[in-house]
Amino acid sequence: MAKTPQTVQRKKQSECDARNGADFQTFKIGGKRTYMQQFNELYYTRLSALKPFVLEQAQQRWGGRSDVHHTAKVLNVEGPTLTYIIGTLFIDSNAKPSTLHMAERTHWIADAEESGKYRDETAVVHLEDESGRIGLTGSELSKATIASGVVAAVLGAETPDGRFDVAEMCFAGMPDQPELPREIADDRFVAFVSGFNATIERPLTLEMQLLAEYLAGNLGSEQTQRESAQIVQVVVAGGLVELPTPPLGHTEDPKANDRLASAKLVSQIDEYLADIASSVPLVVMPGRGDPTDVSMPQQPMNPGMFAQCRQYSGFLSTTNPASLAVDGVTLLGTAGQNVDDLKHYTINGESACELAARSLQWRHIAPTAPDTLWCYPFTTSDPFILRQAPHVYFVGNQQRASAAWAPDVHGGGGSGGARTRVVTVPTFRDNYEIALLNLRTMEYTSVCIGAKSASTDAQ
Amino acid sequence: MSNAEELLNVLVLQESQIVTYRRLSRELSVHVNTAKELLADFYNANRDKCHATYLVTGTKRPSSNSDEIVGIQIMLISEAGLTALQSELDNAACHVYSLEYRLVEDANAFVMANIQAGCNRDIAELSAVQSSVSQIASAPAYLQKEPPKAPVSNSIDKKPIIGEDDDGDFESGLSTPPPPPPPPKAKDVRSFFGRVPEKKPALATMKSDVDMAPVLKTELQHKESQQTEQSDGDFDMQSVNDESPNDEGSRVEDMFDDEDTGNNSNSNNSNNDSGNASPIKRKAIVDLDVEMAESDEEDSNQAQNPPPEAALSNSGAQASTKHRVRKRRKVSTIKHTKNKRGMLVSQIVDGWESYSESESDTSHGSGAAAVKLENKKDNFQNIHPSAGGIKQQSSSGKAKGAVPQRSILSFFGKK
Repeated sequence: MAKTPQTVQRKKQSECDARNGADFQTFKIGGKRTYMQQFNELYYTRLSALKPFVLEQAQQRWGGRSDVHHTAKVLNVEGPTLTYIIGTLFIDSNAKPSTLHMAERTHWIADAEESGKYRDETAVVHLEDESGRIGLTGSELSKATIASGVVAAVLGAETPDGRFDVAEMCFAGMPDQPELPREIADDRFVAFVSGFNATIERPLTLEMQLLAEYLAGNLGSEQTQRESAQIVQVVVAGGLVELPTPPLGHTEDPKANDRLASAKLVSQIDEYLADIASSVPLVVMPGRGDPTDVSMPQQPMNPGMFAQCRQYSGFLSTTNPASLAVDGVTLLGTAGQNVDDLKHYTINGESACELAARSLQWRHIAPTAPDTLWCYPFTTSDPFILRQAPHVYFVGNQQRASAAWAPDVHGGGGSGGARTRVVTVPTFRDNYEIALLNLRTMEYTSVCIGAKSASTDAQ
Repeated sequence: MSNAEELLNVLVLQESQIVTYRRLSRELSVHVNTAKELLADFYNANRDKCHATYLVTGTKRPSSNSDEIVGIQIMLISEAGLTALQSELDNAACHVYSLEYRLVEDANAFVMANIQAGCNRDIAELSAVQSSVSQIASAPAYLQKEPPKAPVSNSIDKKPIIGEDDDGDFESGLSTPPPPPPPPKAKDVRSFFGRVPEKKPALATMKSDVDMAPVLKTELQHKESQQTEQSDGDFDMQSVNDESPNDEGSRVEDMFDDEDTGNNSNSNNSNNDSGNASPIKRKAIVDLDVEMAESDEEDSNQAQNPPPEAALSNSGAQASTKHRVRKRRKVSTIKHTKNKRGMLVSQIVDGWESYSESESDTSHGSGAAAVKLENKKDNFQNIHPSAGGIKQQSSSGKAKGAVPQRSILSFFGKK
């Protein structure tokens, strides 16, 4: 006698869905956008906002020492006595991309991504505040993981040649972290996926279809289906489409309707995502190649792109970076551009997960903006400064799935010892892999979807 | 044989299609897990006739790399590699994903089969996991399979396919079948497009500043004797004095009809080809114009041919009753001829060109012309109301702003 198939009820989020409680970080640019302002105001705002926290950390760390005193302004440093100064790090290197060089190579806005490292042997690290800048030197610089735009306190002394010999470094530390409103009793998963990178030639792959079936709960055995029912939220961390880049010198002909293929691709992706959105709450973030702003923070993609998805109550198109809340668990995530830019500054081979954790300790998730990471010229506030430590910090479009904790290091950290689960989401197009995060245990699991052909089987 | 067996027999064995469990679930309206079981049952009964593709799920065994996180494996694999894959995974489970006539190596075939199977949301009621979201809106109208019929605009029926003014009408005319042209109004003999064939349109009110009538009559008489060169326009011009006053308005169009190749419906032109009729007509008109120009040169700024009284008297009525008035104005053209020695000679010849003006323009022009005619009725034999009015205005100085410029000659006229 055939067994009667059972239908499992998917677990629902509590009243705290992805929207409620997600306003601890706001990345939407409201009002009229202008690009006439200089970036110095952004740097000044960042320094003003983080300086008190850095000073607090520095006083906790070095304040008790009698031979150490604080110098308020960088240019007032003098003498061989130990002192600590606070400012913004700036790495001046010939390896860093130049806007003029990029403009020479292309007729249009060039892709901001540049291969290679930004710190080479010729790199000079400066510390800059309102009064001026001073060059840093010392062996500590080669050990520390730093990047342009990081607000830090450096302990050292002035050298005879007018530079500052760094002995120790200190950062703002992680902000306070709100407590969970309630204890999560059962296993609830958040599925992270990024980097579909659908192209006009291949808008849909078999792996994408299998993923949709898995998330909808149709695929696999009953055990797999029960696990799928525990997924309460799906987050697409950027990388929906990979639109073709126009050739050099291309002039768009309005009569030729060159964008027809791209529009069709977008509609196909909308159709695909609607399949997922009809079964489980879906959050979509823009990524590097998606049709939205190039500069950070990327604004939500045009609602017209998701005509099918918007029919469902659980669908949300948000910014990049984005702050979410699932069952009281706060999530902060990016599509990966900020971490990818940080990789250019690493000299010790830090992984993406380590860099993401380090940025939390800097209390700034995109410190290289606007130096090497394109950014909107904010003047009154810096939205990338962390106001509170999230429970989960995810970074999309990475090479592989990995997870780590962001504890307080270098003496930095908010009161109460904030701990954030830092996870990286792999690029689906490369690995056909997604990630599941258990909100109760913070256990991170990868799900690899694939198809083996007969020729592979024979081998 | 059950429905599932029949369906799979047809689709897989006969039509060689790839049937996935989702397609079977949709076709038979059964639970997706039931569809998987049906596929497995059919495959077990027909192993030698078809091929099955399995989906295997399990947990990857942890490797020596401690940093690697635990992973779940979901793999689509043929029957040949099923056993090997199951041995690599913990808690492995599998089910039949699809049935096909023979082994399929191309992944795109499965993609197309899944597309053919439809969306997951189409079988939401048959899914193993119930959705936790609700549908808040229906699909936009433009995403519907059957687009709503656009309301047919009345303007399409009324206006011709190629609109004169509105591009929108032009586009709508292109997208919709061209409506039949409106039938010509039998009563409106003055309509340029709807001239009644039976009626002999009246002579156009040729109003110029030259004494044309005598020349015209002479020429008409000459042409009347030559049937080969006779045309509608000439015929109409011939009968200018014979026409009733009511038909005066249509003489304007008929005069201009001489320049149109398509509106000649007179059978008198059967002696000539349609292609030759037009050159003949124009030549006749040019000849007339030349003669008129010669007379103009002789009598510059002097006696001007008054229009036929009937035509003149109806000019105002014509302007008042119709929206657009076809008129003629004097223009200069360069005529290239060969002299006796075969040399190419170019000479400036005054000619006439037809134009149309609105009722408001005509009213002003006719008003001015009427005043002028009243003052110089004895001297004018055939006058174009607007041209005369303009010339008068140009000679007398600035015209009152209501009367627009009519003839370009007014800029170059002798003063």
